[in-house]
Amino acid sequence: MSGEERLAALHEELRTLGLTSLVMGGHAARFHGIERNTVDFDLHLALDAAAWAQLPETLSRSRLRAGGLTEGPSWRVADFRRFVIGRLPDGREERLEIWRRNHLLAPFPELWARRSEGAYGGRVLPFLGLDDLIRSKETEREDDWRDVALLEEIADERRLVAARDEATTAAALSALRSRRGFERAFAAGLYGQPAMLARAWAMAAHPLAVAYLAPFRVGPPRPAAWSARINELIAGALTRVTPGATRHLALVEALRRLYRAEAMAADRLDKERSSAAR
Amino acid sequence: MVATGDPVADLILAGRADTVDEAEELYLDEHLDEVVTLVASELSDEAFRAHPLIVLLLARGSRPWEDSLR
Repeated sequence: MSGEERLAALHEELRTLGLTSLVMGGHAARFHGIERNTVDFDLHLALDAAAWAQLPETLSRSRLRAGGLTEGPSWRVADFRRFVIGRLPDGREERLEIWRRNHLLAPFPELWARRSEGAYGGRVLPFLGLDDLIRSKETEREDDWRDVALLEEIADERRLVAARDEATTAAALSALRSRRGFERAFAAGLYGQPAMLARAWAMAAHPLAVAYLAPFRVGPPRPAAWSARINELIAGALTRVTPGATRHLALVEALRRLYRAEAMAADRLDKERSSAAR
Repeated sequence: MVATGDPVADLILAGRADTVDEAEELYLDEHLDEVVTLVASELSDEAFRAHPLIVLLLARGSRPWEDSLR
């Protein structure tokens, strides 16, 4: 059985237990277009506190017990649990990792509303939406940021493919985060229409998308929504460079590094606090 | 420790990084303010593009759109 088929079978097993789940992690990254190997199964479940406390017993009523179901360590057991559900052919543990609340993500109902569904392992499975998957990977781990970079390119590509009129094009420009996405849109002249740029500027919510738009100076100053250093770049140096020039791209990359460093530090701090609270 | 003149190599020799990858990341993260200074400088666009810090920053940043796709 392939990893995809195994995931589909696991999802079905949980469904028969009455558990609603969203696929996240490596399999979600594969679903959205990154070619990578993964042996872990990462799921986000919709569970209240009582059902969460009962989860090991609930799982033990399923066929998972046949694989020698055992719970492993967790640094935040109120939100995240890890189970060994079997052995891979090479002897490694086969692990099922389950979130009830992820500190980087919105509550489950919002994630569910934004989910992506598609064929995977012979069944139709629900996955974290692409933007939520990117957010879930803004962790302290370097590997996750390599995925973020690739997933941002994929997300930008989809946004640009979906840009068919002023509203959808403004929506695309308001969210582009990758250099590929920006350069493609710039070459296509999408940044050349002031009214559309003003709409994009008003909608942009991510500092990288704002950084790509800032030199066009098409709207009022942004509220200071991020760290002091990021706000300073957006309100200062980025308004004084030529759009699309190397100086602009260099400032965006400087901001990208700041954003990543701050996100990694925040995730590390959250993990330390969770570990200390145990 | 004798400086080599290569800031990335110096980070490794000083024991602050184990690999070139780690050293380049560390060097960039410690010189972001210098990027802003270079952006505001009188350097020509050509000189700015050729500056080693900018070359490294862009090389390790988000990938460019390939010419083949244009």
